[in-house]
Amino acid sequence: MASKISKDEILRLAKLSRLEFSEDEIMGLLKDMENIMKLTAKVEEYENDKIYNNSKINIHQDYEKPEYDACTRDEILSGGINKNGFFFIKKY
Amino acid sequence: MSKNKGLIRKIHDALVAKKVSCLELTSWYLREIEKSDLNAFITVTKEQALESAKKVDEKINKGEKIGLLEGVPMSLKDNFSTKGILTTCGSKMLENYVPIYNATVYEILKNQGCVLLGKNNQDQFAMGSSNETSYFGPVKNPHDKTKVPGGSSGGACASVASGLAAFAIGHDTGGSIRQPAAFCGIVGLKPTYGAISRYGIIPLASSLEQAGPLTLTVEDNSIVYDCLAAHDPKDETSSKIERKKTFNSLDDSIEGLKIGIPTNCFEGSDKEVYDAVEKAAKFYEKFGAKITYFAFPEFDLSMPVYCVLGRAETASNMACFDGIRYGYKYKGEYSDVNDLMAKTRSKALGDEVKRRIILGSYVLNTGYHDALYKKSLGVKKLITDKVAEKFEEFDILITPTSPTTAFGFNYAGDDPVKMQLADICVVNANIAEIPALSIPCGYDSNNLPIGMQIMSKCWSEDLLFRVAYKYEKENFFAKIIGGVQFEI
Repeated sequence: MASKISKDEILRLAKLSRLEFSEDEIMGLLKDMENIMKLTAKVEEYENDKIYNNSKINIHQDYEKPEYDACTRDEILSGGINKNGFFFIKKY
Repeated sequence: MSKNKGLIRKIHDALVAKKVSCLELTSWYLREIEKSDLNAFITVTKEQALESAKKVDEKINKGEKIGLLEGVPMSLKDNFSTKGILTTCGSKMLENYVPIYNATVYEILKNQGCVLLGKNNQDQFAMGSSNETSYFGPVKNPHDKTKVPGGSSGGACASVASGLAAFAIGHDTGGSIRQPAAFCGIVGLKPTYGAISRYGIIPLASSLEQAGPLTLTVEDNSIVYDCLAAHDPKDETSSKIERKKTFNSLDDSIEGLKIGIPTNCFEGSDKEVYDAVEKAAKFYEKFGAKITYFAFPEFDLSMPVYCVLGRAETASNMACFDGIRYGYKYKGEYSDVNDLMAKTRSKALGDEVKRRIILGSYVLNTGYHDALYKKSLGVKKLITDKVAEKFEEFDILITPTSPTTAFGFNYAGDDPVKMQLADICVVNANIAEIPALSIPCGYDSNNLPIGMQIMSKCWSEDLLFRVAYKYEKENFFAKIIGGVQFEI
């Protein structure tokens, strides 16, 4: 579960995002993040099976994996999940 | 075709009949903008507007034909790039930014001969639902100046509702056209994803956003949509599908319409909003429409998915604002280039923007990427599929546009979630990529407008307009509050 965020985590993310925050702002941010994460928890808790069994097509995001090349032209054109479990954008 | 004329055709007819010159008309609008205290404009393009108006008059005086949109005074949300004209995106970061190219949307309207009156105020980088996050101050709702106009296209909606522009172009990532349209009592369309070019829009969340028209009437909206909806090779997300023209079929039959009402979208709505929207849906029964109520639990996942995907894309899109290439640059001392970027971004970006960047970076982080970002992409597709299935059963879905009418300033206090929930009904269309139209369907006891949202399957904007037009013909609720008055 990724819904608890610490002050150190905020500081790390701030550095990564090239942002600076005062101590007060960090406390406020922690509270805001906690509230937003309660909202996004619905996604985290959603069962994987429900997504992948019900979803016909999906967006392939992980371009680094070599299996990406293993898609056929038809798969790419029609969109869908290929035998490796990767998802492709259906082109209009 | 017999139908009431919208504002655009009335202006067109008045120009052609020489009842008013384009220069006079433009001057009226400019004068009203100057008098207005709504803060709806960040930049007023007076000289360019008068210049464009003169060209239209010359054409009319020579007896040349003019197009329907030619000479019509309009405004643009300030996140559309306009060559040589300040484009701030409502931010300190781009306070002095002047683009060197035009957004395709503006280019089309310019080529049509529209008169650009100026650039509208908006939430900073389109992040907000009340127009309160703008660096240039909040916009007031023309119906009640103690209320917000909604957001993020609040300035554009307020300008149309208060007679400061005949129409405006907004931008909708999670309801930013429809929610303020409902709060200001006008018509707002979020088209199918890929229908209108995104080229030249300063992006918020690239996979969710679309430009769309804001107008007083459904007819006007259809005219502007028909003009803008086209494939743009400059935009990779622009679809090559042929768009159906909508204006000529506005009066076509809607007999036997199958209407679905997802009940969970009504939960949490104010009673007056609930009653007005339900009454508006029942209006269609006289055309033989069959109304079915059903629960649609997938819609409850739209807001969480939007929060994850929207913020992830925001964090990525906002990375270019670093003070190095363009925009605000920190003037004080700094140790190295990273320190300069951090100081620049911290000074020039607002709290809501920074909040979204941090959350976006978080959900894209190793360890959380699969649990949040990747999963949200899966759920988004699931919602899209389920919505497509629903449209095999129904022609349209009807919901309130917003659970409440316009709220007061500082309504959400320090709670960004409360503000985000103002978009609970509208965000579904962005996630499912479908078109959605908000039209006024009444007023609450405080005389604030109520909006009804109509959604249909992808690429069926013609049906949306037809359905909305039937309603508007017998139930016309839009009105111009002050400004340039036309009988509509």
